[in-house]
Amino acid sequence: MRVLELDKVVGGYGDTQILHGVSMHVDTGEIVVIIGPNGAGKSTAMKAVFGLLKLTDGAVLLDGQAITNTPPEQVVRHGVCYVPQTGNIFPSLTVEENLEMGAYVRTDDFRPRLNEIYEMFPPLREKRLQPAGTLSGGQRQMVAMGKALMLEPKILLLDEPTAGLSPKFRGEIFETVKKINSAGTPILMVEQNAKQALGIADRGYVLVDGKNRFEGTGQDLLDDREVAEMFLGGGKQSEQPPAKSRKPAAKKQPRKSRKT
Amino acid sequence: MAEFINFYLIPGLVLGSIYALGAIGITMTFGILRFANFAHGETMTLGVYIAWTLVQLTGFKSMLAILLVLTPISMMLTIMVVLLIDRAFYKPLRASPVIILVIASFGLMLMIRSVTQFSWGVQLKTILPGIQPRMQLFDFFSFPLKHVFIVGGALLLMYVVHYVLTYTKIGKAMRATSDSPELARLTGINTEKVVMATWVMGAGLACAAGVFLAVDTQVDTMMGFKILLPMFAAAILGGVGKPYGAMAGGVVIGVAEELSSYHWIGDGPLLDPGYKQGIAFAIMIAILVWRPTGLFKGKSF
Repeated sequence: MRVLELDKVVGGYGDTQILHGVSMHVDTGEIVVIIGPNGAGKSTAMKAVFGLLKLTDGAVLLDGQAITNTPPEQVVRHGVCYVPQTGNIFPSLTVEENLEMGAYVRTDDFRPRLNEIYEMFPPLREKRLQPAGTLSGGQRQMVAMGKALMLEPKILLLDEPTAGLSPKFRGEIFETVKKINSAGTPILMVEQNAKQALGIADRGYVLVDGKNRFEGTGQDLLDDREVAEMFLGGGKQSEQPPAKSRKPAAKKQPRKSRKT
Repeated sequence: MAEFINFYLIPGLVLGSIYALGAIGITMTFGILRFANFAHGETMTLGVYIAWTLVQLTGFKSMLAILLVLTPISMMLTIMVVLLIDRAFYKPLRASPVIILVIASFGLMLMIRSVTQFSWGVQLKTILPGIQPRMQLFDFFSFPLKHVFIVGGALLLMYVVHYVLTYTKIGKAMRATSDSPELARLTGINTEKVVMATWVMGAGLACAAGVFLAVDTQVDTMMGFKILLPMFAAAILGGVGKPYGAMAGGVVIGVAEELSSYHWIGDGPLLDPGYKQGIAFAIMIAILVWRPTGLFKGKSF
């Protein structure tokens, strides 16, 4: 079943158009990863779901219902949770207060859910009375994700959850993402560490210049020579694709199978 | 020693409590609505005039009746006026750049002051007439009974603030919004409700602080404006956006102002009492230069 769908969305900030018709979807139980060079519009595509920028064309569908250009505070109430890349916790609030704030829009008793989150992230239970700002980077990400999960969202959006973390923590975060997903929450994630991210992803999208470039299963993209050259080669993520790889791109374009 | 406590430390604590109550509102408005509210002093003045009017209407003359009955009523009336002001002036400007809100609050400051002066006149009034009883402790400590009530009342109100911020959903949401308004919005926190709660807290405490000041001194249309600067200094000293910082900052500045005129060296006062207000300035500048985030690691700009 289709949980979230972006249908040829066009938009940007002010007069700067960043997305030129991006389409993607997330089905029940999936982990979907968006990769691409810097400035490709990866995070922007995600923010488009959350109503953080003005879409001039296209549609965002949640469970088949249009939520295009719904303001963030309403999107949350529809069951979409978004964890931004930075500033995703309330530093002066304790860990537990952060989680409670995650449940702000819930009107029922969130205690059982709080317990489930602590089961999922045992270190958070230990540090529940500490200000979240005093935690390590990896644990802060746990707080941020736990906070988002308090709502038992229909889908979780993660914007570069491993940015700025050491390789050890990165692995931990990817494990956590898998764990959250296996507990039943579909995930749409933007990642710079494309290799690791595609490794845990069901499907992936490659965005370039605000357009879909490739899509396929995580394994397909990992095996694809061109994708590998463009994004998976060590430290080349931010470079423009070299000229020689442009030719096969034209050949491979038709391979793009949109199953809509 | 007794002289130091009776004439410097206790008045310092009284003044400090008043600053602290006022500074909480300033720091919360700064943290949540993101602007320096210049009209906060006039909110205080307005609260005092409302209380003074209630005293005239009811004829209550005792300090206890004024503090326990009339003050809460004036606080509620002040809160209502401030919520109406928010509706009429600040709400349409919610998405505007900060500087516009600051200027709007400056305009409101002048408007509220003029309305107050027009309605009640500019002559000094007293809210608590007559000679007030003093309290005697261990032969050498002696201070006006009203000071006990002011400090006690301030402590009680600060405890209420602490309780609301720590144990209630809206209080936690207020702290969250002060931490990061953007994330609060992404989390689904009802920011309009948080803004209202901020005005309720700020206006209520400003009114109480004003009445305490009026009970201690007198009623004057400029009284709020005169202590606006020390209140800002207290908010900055404590760390902008940090209510506990504002409380601590208020007490520190109040005590420092009073202690500055103690005869620390020689016979004369260290600093002529006329320059008392300069102390708040000096502390504010020092903090901004050496520790802009204040004592409690607030926001720096």
